[in-house]
Amino acid sequence: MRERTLLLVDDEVEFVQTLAERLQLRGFQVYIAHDGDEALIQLEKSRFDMVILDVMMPGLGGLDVLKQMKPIYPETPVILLTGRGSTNDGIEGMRLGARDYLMKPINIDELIKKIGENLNAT
Amino acid sequence: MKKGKALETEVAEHKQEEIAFFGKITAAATHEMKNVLAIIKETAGLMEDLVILSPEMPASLREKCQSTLSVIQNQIKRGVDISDHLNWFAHCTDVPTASMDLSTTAAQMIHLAQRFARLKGVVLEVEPSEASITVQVRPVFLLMTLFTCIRCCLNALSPGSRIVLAPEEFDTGSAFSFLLKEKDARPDALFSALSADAAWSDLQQMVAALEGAVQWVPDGPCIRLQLPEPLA
Repeated sequence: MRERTLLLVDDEVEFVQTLAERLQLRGFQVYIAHDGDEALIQLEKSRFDMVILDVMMPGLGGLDVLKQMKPIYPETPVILLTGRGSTNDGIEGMRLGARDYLMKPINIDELIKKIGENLNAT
Repeated sequence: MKKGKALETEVAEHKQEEIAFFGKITAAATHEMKNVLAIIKETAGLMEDLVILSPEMPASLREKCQSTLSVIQNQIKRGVDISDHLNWFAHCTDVPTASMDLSTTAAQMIHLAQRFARLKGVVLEVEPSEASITVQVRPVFLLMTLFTCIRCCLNALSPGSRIVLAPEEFDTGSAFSFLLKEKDARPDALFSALSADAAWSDLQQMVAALEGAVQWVPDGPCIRLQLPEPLA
């Protein structure tokens, strides 16, 4: 079975690298983008099974990326990462087409569960 | 030169701007703290993954690593809780007046005042109301009032006591009841200690400014802070 590909987008370099490594250990092929613009470039170049997108990023934020990518890649599921206490961002993101959201710091088991549920749904 | 009401209004506006500025910076700092905690959490998680994936590691070393990593994870959880409560507190400064849910406010206040209670050896608890009770108030002023009441109680109670903060709704309006649970305490002696505290008169003034009243209920015993009528 082919490895599922994830695009992980977050401006916190250490966070995104460590999380990518943990997801790789769990069998995913993970690509990284450190901001919204880089994410859109990567989406143009490759097809991903899922995008995991931080909401709060300098420049193009997660919700802006979501708005731009949804009309072009409507089938690609998106899970948002929001700050705690920012449920409004998560709800707004789901209105814009995100499948789900998680609050940071995340629980890896919860993330894996949500990835599994949403990959199976596609 | 500005006089009377105009000057008073300007001073009040500046005060609100100062409070809002303080809140904005604090809220931003709590977001940054959570980013730091998220990195530590993932790094500790990765170490945990690597320990699990190292069958050659001696059992005693594996156990030590896992227990150490579990201490880190517990402290991260503690840090996240503190950041969340501080973030809620900071956002209370966003607007001069707001509709506040009394159970949420009580629960947050209990967390924010926890350290002060711990230093006095007193346990702070909340008993949420079954139905939601909301009042339109100045959020920061309400929190300051609750904190002043907690301070009075902490000064009057002995170590080992408990304070239970319970929002309540009456026909005449809503209230925060501070139930004081002290072993072998006599309500009259407790009230004497409370009313002798300098913070007690501050509390009376603050509650009056909220258009409420402070009531001592010997049967309980408890301090009841009556607030303006709940919103429909």
